[in-house]
Amino acid sequence: MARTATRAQALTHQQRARRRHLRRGRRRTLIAYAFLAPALILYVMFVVRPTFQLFGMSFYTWNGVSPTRDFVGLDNFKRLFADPLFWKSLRNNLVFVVLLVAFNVTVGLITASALARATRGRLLYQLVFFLPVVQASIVTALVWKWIYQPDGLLNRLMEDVGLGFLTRGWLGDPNTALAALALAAAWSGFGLSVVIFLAGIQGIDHTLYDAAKVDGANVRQIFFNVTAPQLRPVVTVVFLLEMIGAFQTFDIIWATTRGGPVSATEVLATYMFKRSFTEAQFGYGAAVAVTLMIIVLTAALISLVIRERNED
Amino acid sequence: MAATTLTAVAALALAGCTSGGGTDSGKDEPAGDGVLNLWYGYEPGQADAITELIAQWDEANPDVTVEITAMGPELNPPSLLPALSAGEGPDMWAGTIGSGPSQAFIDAGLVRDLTPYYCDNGWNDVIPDELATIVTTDGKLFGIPNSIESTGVFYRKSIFEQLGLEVPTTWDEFMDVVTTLVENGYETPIGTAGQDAWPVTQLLGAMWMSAVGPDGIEKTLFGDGTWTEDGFQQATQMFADLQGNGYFGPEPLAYTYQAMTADFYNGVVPMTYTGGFVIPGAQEDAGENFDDIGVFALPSVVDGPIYANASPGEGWYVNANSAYADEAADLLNFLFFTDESRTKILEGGLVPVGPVDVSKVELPSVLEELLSEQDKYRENGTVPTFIEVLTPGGIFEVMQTGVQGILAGSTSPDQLTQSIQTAWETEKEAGNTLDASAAPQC
Repeated sequence: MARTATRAQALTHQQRARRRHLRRGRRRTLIAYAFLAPALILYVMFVVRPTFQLFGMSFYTWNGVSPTRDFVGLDNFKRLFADPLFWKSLRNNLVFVVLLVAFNVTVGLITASALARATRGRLLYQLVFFLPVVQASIVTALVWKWIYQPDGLLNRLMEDVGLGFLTRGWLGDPNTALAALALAAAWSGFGLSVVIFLAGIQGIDHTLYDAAKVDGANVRQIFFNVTAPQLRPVVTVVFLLEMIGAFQTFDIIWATTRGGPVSATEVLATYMFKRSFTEAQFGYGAAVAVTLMIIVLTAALISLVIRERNED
Repeated sequence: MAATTLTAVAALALAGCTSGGGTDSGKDEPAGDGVLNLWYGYEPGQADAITELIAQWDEANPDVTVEITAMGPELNPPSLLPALSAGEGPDMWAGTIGSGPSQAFIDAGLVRDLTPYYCDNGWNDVIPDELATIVTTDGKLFGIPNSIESTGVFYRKSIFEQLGLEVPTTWDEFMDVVTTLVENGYETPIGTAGQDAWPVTQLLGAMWMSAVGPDGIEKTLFGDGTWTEDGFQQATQMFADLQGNGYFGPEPLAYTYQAMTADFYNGVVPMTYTGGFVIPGAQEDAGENFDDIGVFALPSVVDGPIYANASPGEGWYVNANSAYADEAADLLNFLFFTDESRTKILEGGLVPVGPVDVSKVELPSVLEELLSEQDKYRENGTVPTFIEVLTPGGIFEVMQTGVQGILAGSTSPDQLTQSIQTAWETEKEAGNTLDASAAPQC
């Protein structure tokens, strides 16, 4: 009887403790929500709501300021998909994304690996590589515009090293303008990739490197068999950041070529800006923005799914 | 808009020695200590005749202070849009004329109807009807054009003298000048800023106007004419031939307007097609070479008459919701409708709208030549200088892309005119082309 009472007492204690634990948990959750609430409210107000408004606007013709707008259903999208310039802008955008991401992921990773091995001057190099990231994009654009001019730094350097036959106005040639701007954009964002990769490399367990060295692996083998696989999640993050940034590229193109020559550097953001602000077609501009958003989200989802599958 | 009306636009821009149409300001009681915000399309820090005049007005009107925000022509329209649509924004601003954002602001009721000031202050005596129609919607005047712009072939006199060249008046003579320049080592006889697109599109626009004349452009813009008619085709082909012969230099698409004008001032490029708007800056940038710059009218591309050309520069607008609308109108009255101000604007290198007694003005030499050339051909008729003022923004975009395509060799003249026509039909169907409306009735 006494044992039964003691057990009952113990159960009551356990129940009480569980209840206390639950109460404490609930309180913690409520406190967490309370802390999250301001950010959530701001996010809904300044991200979710405008996004829905943008979707709504894409079904109207609107000049951006008029109190009235006309509902046109999917007409803006039909017009968009029938416009050859939209497809050219999309193609340019994809080329820009590929060039930028390829450069910043591969060169960024290699540079970060080299920096991780450096014993002296690492901070200095990091600063040097990161400097363009903090530089105003308009300054970057103007610097590269000057570099690419017919009498600019690049052509002068090429002449000095005997490559004068290759010189040209890099931004004036429809065959080179897009790649030239992708390189300029990569230069300005490359430092961020290096810093993220370097942080990732520094987080890798050193015993893995020690074991690889004991097994007689050389630098190349260590990079491909230890560093690269361990950095896969970081590579995904850098890839996504660079890809999203490249899809949204506007300022460097606008400040240099404005989408020219002959639409060779027209991307979706410049195409959207022209339709909206030059031609006051904000409904159509919204349709471009929605399409761009869907493309970026789809590309991001695909890359995340591929990553998950690879990890499985 | 009739061809004769286009002629009148320029007629008032020039050389007349009549007294001005300025009136008393008719200023109401001041609204108290306040700030009149003006958003100005010029670059920050750029001082010109208009900013000096504003300072003068400011001094004479202690109850209101004008605060100028100069953000450059690139940022002005995108910044105005959210500000005005939120019911805020400047009390007055200078912006583009024609369809596009300015027309959108007018349609949305965000721009003050200036018709009462236009009628009461006698502005209608100064602004020619043909110019007023461009800033008129539904019979109401919404903007004040600040200047009249004309273009021509700017050339370096010393190079012409050195090579024994005469100013050409026919296309054949012009081609002789070009070939002589090439033979004497000038690899870019006609400087074109292909990378920026708009300057070279101005040249093609001038060739179109030359080919179709005032009646032809009138028919196309306001009638049933098309951009694929013979005159447009022929002029576009001749433009493509200039490029084909290398007269725009080895890499016209690599040239920005800034680089091209620098080469022109340095004498590397002996000729370029540009307008009076370059003169205020050239006075400083060209240095001692400024007086070596001459201007002649582009010869007719079809062996026809040479026409004068004229278009309004920027439009000045007043916010419909401004508490200082009367003060803003008074400032406009002072800036553009008094003899003294117009004279000062002309001295600064811009041609104001309305009569100016040029005998009292010491004009920059190149401006004097530009005005004189325009005056010489005015009786043949006047064509628009800026096609973009009279066409929707999308059309000018198509023109610029097509012109770059011709320079790159990827677009044929036929393809260019056809693409403009296709875009024109779309804009026309959407109701985005300008109506040939009438000036306000006082």
